[in-house]
Amino acid sequence: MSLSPSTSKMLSLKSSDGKVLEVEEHVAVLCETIKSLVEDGCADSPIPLANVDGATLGNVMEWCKKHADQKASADDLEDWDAEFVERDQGELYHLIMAANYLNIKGLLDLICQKVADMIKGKHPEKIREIFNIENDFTPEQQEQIRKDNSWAFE
Amino acid sequence: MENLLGDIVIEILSRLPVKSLGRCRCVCRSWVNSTLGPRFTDMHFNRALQQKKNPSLVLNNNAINCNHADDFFSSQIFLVENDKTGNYTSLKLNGPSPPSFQKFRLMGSCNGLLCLYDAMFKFNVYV
Repeated sequence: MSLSPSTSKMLSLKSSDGKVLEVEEHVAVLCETIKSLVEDGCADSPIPLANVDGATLGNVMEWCKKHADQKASADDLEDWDAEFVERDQGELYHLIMAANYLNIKGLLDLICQKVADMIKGKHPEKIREIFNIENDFTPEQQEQIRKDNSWAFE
Repeated sequence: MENLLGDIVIEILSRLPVKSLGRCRCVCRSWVNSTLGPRFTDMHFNRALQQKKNPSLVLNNNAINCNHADDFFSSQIFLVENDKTGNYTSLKLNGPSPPSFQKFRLMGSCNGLLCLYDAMFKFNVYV
């Protein structure tokens, strides 16, 4: 089966909130999960994606479309990716979950690096605040862990 | 972000430089657990290589100090960073019991791999 752009047919993808998106097959198969369905001949129409909402699916397919474009240069993609990840945390969260579910390594790498950059250099209190993480250490554990990692605060 | 799956947290934390990683271990219990174990060590090391940064290695002392294997709060990160010539430049030890590590002698390093020599028992070589 050829997946080249010239022969690409359209696939219908159905999001968790019932929105249907028509996407060229050579774009959609950047998602390994969808690629497996297509290769196995199991790509029902529309393909139900129970864990991805419509807005996120739109964003994911926008990324896939750009990265399936064989005319895009590496520099062009890098600049485009840098703009693509300029989003609020909620969107980044949904994109990570979708990239994981749809098995899109490039997108998962991109968003994980963005989140890592948001964490880099920050103090634990700030990280908890930004990502809404509960401090579940007991006071004794807290004291110990800060002591053990005191070198990271020098 | 608080509901991220463990695997994804590991994906994110393995991209951090070692100092940030030390701070992340002070965030919450699950982040401590995420940064323990050989899988995390492998991922962190491979990312450092991919990014062409100076290779650094994260060791957990419960991997080398069996006395503390059951207590994750006594598990600490040991960091070894190489300079561009391939020589190790710093060996940052943390925690209350660096003597447990001092019995090891660093014989040499290559690409972030260490050859540790157990000075106490003379016959164990750790790589």
